[in-house]
Amino acid sequence: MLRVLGNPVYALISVGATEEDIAAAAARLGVDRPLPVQFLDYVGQLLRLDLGRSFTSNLSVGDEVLRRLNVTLPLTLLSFALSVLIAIPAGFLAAWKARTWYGTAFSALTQLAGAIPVFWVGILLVTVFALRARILPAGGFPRTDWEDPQAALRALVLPVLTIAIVSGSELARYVRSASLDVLGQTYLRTARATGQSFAGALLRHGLRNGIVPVISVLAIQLSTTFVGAVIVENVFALPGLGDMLLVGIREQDFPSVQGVLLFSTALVLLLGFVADVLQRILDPRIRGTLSGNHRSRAAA
Amino acid sequence: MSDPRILGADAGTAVRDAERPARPRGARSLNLVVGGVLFGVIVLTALVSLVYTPFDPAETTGGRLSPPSAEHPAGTDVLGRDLLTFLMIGARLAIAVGVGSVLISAVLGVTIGLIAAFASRWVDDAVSSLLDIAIAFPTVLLAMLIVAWRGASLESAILAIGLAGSAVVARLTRIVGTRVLSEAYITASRTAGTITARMLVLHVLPNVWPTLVVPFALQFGGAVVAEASLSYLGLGSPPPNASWGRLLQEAQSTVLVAPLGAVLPGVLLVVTIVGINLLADGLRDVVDPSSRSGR
Repeated sequence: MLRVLGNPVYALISVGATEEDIAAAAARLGVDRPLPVQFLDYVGQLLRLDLGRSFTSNLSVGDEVLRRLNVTLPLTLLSFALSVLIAIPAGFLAAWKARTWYGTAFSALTQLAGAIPVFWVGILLVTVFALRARILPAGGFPRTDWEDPQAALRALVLPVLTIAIVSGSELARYVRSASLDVLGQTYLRTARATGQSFAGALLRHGLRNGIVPVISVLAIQLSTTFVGAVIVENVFALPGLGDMLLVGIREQDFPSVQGVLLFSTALVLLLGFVADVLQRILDPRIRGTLSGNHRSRAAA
Repeated sequence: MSDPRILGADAGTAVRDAERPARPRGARSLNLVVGGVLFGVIVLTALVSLVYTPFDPAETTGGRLSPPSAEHPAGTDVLGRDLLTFLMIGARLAIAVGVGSVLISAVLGVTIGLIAAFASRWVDDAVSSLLDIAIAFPTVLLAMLIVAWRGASLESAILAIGLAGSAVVARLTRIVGTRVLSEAYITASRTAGTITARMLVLHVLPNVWPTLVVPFALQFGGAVVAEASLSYLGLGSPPPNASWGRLLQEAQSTVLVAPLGAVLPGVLLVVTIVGINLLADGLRDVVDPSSRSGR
């Protein structure tokens, strides 16, 4: 796929290399073979779940991706958990108290937070909490990886906060609109009329209905968080997948770039699939259709 | 009419659609004004930068990282270059990215969408499934792929962001296009013997595009953020034509000495995006009067 592009040999050889040196380097990487051969070879590797070896470090790309996940996965999951923890109460409250100052402030704040680039939030947080107040590390990840969990967690506090602020506010808007929808439904009033408490009716009937659209957004949100992690890792100099991808692009290390992109794409598509299945389990009305997303010809 | 789940998959629009009923009408025209002013300031800055910048962006005209002064209202960067000049050029780049990528998305997306709407069910299904996959693929990752292929430049960024956006536009066009094609005036036009191409231009496009104006405006904002992220990662246009994202990256290491450099580009980014988002909200009223009264 990417092999067609640029010449990775130049990243390997030193200044003043002879024609023979270049040819030898190309042969070592296997880029001197015809492109179709290279491509078929790569597809063959993929079928064996082998992502190949890095051009620059000669390490197995698959192993490297897994090693980098030590940073990216906790970062993504913690940020996601935190943003959900913030977004669900905040969004619900904003719907419940839509006509009060809280509802207005919520709309203004989420509008603003939705417009702030995630990396800028990171820069501002670093400036305030790491450089000025010096209570948290400005970046980097302990060399010992997770052997010292406390140090590792401390390194993740600011990055997690950064992602959670941005993706949490986006999520909160969805939660708000889903809650608004549920709160206006007549079935809630009916349930109240049968003698259920407001909270009981909400839990029994509201939650199940309100959660369906939120689930698909959660899946999209989890993949956005993952992509956000790729960028935020750079702000905090964390050695995760994002760092691997960027270094790979800079050094034209195509197997690494391909490896990270393939892995990320697979993950994003998998999340979408899981969300589709979950929605179907929760809402029997969607089950009959082939896909929740298209097939609108009938609906339109 | 439209199943919310179909449109709901398009992230940005869904939230705003759902927010609609809660907001009174007065707030919406206020949106249009405030958004117009904020965005107008950025456009104006971009236009001015075409004919005038305080200094040559490549030239060292002051001390390193000097604080704001009469000569350099926003201070200077690490090499002693005028920051205000860079900020103005950044506005120009932001507008270029927004316009360029929206144009690419529009041309490509509307074409694909209309083909899907017109074509047989089989083609439609194939295109729709492909679009679903394309939409799931994050913009920034696609952009990185294109940058890895073409090298870091403004054009690569615009191309990448435009391509990523075209899938969303195509899906929307297909939905609206299908609806328009089932209208009576299309049948009437067909009966009158109008050829397909003429019908497309005369009846389908004019009825499709109002629905697309708001998504385009939102996409504009998204494109500016995406380009800023790319630039921040060092994958955007190289200096001296540095975008705001690049300025932020360069200012990050000197934030304690010269905080303005790490604040102003971010503020301008936020102004641009909030401006265009508010404008989009307000525009919805103008192009789609049915949304005015709420649900």
